[in-house]
Amino acid sequence: MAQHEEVLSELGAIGAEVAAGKVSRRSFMKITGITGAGLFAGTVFSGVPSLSALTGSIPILTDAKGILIHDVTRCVACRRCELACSEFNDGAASSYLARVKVGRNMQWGAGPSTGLVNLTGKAGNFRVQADTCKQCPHPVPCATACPKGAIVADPQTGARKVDEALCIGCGYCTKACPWAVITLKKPSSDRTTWKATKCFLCDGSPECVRACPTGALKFVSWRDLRLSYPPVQATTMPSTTAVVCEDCHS
Amino acid sequence: MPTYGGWTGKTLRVNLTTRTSTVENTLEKYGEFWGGTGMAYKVLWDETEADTDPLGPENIIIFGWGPLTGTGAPCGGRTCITALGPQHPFGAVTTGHMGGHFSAEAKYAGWDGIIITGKADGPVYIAIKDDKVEIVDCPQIWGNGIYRATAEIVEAMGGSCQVAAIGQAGENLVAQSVIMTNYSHSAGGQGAVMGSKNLKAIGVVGTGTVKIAADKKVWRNLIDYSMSLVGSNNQAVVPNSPQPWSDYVSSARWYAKKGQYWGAADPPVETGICEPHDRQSVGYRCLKSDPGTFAEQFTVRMDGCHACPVRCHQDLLVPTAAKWGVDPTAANTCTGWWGRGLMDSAKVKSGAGTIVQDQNLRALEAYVVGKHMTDDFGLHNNYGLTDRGWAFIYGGTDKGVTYIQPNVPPAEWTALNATGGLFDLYEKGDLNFLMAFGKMMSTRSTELGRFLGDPVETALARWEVNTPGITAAYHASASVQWWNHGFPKHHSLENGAQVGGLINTGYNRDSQNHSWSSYLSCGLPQQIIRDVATELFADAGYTHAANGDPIAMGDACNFGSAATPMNRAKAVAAVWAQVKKELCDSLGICNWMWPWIPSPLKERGYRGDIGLEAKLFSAATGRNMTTKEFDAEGVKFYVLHRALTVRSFNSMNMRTLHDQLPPWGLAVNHPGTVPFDGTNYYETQEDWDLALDYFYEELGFDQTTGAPTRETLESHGMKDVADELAAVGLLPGAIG
Repeated sequence: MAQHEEVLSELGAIGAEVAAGKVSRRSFMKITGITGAGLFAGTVFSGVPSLSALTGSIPILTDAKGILIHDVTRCVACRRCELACSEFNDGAASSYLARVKVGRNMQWGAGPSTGLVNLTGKAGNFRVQADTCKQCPHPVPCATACPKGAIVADPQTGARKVDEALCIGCGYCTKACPWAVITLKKPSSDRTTWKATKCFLCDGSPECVRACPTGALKFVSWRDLRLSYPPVQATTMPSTTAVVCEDCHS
Repeated sequence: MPTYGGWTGKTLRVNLTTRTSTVENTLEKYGEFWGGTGMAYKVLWDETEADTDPLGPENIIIFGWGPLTGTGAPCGGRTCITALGPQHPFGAVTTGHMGGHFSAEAKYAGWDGIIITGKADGPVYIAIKDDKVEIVDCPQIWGNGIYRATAEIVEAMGGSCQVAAIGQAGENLVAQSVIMTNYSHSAGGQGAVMGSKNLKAIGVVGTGTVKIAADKKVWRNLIDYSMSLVGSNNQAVVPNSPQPWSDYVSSARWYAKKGQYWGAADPPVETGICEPHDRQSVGYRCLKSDPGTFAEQFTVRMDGCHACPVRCHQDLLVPTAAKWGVDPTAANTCTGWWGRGLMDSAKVKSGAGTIVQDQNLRALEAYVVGKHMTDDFGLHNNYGLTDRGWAFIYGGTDKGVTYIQPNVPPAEWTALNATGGLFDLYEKGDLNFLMAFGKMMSTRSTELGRFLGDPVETALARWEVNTPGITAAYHASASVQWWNHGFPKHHSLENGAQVGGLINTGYNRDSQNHSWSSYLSCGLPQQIIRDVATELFADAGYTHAANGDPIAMGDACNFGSAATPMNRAKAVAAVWAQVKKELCDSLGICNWMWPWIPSPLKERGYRGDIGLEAKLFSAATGRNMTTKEFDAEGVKFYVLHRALTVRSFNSMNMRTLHDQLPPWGLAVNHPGTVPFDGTNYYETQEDWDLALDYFYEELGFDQTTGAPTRETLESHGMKDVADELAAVGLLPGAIG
């Protein structure tokens, strides 16, 4: 039985009504006395890190416990982080699919830099920025964009992780991430094989951190990094999704 | 779906004449030659002729790497660029090597190599985006330097694009020209081949993957093992200053220590103790500062190739260099810093005044200006030979009167000697000399520029007319250190006596081979070097010479000036070193780092693993091989190179025409020197003849000539090569 089904069954009649879509999230909180804070902290539903099935189309993911940080002055652009991530997790080396991304910034800098705007990178001031997943707090852009609720919080680390069993490879999440660090694996031209892939912190022992020969990558307690890095693309959240925020936030 | 890993399975062939590209099946067509140089030799053998002009449309230029490129096998980001070489007096095969990230990107684009034929009808670049290949007209980029060409192609193809490009030197068919990538990585000698094809650059973007055949846990363990053995640059495994974890030797290339910083990192980063088990400090071991410790404060970080943890390129920020009109940031390594040897360092320093700080700064600025000159014009300094050749013809206080004046038109001589002219700048230590020199050489607009940029032997022959004796003097000069064919020595007699010497005969340019020389300089005590060599090579099956004599590889180890007479072990070592270089060049891994005979680990008795490349190859590709089987493949590639050389020379007589020492290598040319007395590394002709005898026997080359025999060629599956050589009278023992 899936975790959310277990919780619903424990709640008895009210759980059945929620499962049948008869009870709004707001009513649910009033009836059960569980506040928004309680939901976020996961204290009530310990062991149930994702309430997406309960709460409808905006998944509420509890905060991640850890996060990758990257030091642009220690990075030597060897890209062994990309190699460890892709080879040890997928069995195949790739820069594009690596969940920590160096190759695209290394020469000309991060973001919109191209050949004639040398600010950072090898052709500029030598500083190299690796793009890493911010393990965003709620609302998580990639998880929110996903039509199948396939991006969930890992029970152990809180890392935002693609559940490949649910992922349909539509790629909407890749357009939602402000830093474009989630990518789509396309093992063949058959779209049913396509799956999104993103940093899941390797179950609490990130391979990239272990592989880095200068300690430029570190794994630390989670903090909100969203304002520290300019986004490279506008995140998309359709208004039909945003409307449901009212249920918890009014 | 392929069942192997490592290779992508596809090799790209581009015909610039017809502007078409085709896809070849790598393993079906080149599988026995792996990639890189192995594949390139096969292509050149099959598709060029003995007299193919290196600058004609029939030459073929092959960008090659191998199955380990793009993977986590350490140091796999190398590209070998092979063609009939314009620097060679008659176009024998040569290879230039460049690092960076170009080959890894090409693997991710799905390509095991790129073979380029023909000639475009106007300036073009090849744009490769995964499996989409375009030939793009670029008349407006042509005429610009490498920096602009790269930037404009990246504008078109995106920030992750890797570009390999030529500058004005390659466009103008200067033989001494390079192809450059990633801002500091250049491959010597083939720039003019691209120029002759109107090919300005190749840009590549790859979003794909390189499969690893082995189970991912097995691969992870193998990578961990590899990373546990790695030392610092050039197999250095001992630090060069006292450390809590090791004794030290001042000459080793393991530089890190407490109180040493990447001084311009803003804020500075300490390199520190770098205990060998600390995986997060591997990248700090090698603060390789070619300008000296003075440059540490100007070092932003270290840099280098894809997948290499060691980083031997130095990224400098020297703000005062901007006064010479160049970008104050500059990166490179070794002789890539061309300002280093081109100017007279005493004149450079005195040109800055009397304050030592200013002098040191001016000397450092010369590195920065020189790098920008060479890497934007795309000039090759021929591993320092151009510097030393320039110094030779300028002649110090002679100021060019003996060699330059008789050979250049009077108007040019006047201009050279004018106030503000080239010689004036040189005498004043004025760094504007560097760009003026580079412009002269890359435009071929003056006779002096043509002399410096032409193949060395061709240029000497031309000046022999007005200055007879120049060729012999140049070849014999101990300061010029010419080796053969118009190339310099490169870790020769001074790095292992006859082993170094034999390695230097191996190719048609300077040897680009660090397999053995690095080991001798790894920093371990000499007896440990001997013992580790004996043990590891015996374990790998290197126990006997070709004639059946038992050998101990420790007997091949000579250090510095203490050369001993030739022995069988040295021949085995020389062949092994050549083979290792071919293997590196066909796998895509770096021969400046590999192989790893030693390791920094005391618990292993400082032993590395000379079968590690075989293990990585087997795991990545799924093609399981023992070390001996793996090494034998490299012999095949080297034998094919030899066959190509015989064909280009139109002679079997490699012993006389190809494999002899330069005059300065012989003790008889150093009066008062006694060979093998422990004070020098100079040879006798008898000992050198014996060295060649043993070397040829190891390889199965004919004793008299040094040419490959039918038996040897057929043992490597190359009966076709034997037949073709026999048909033109170039096979020993065959009747023409």
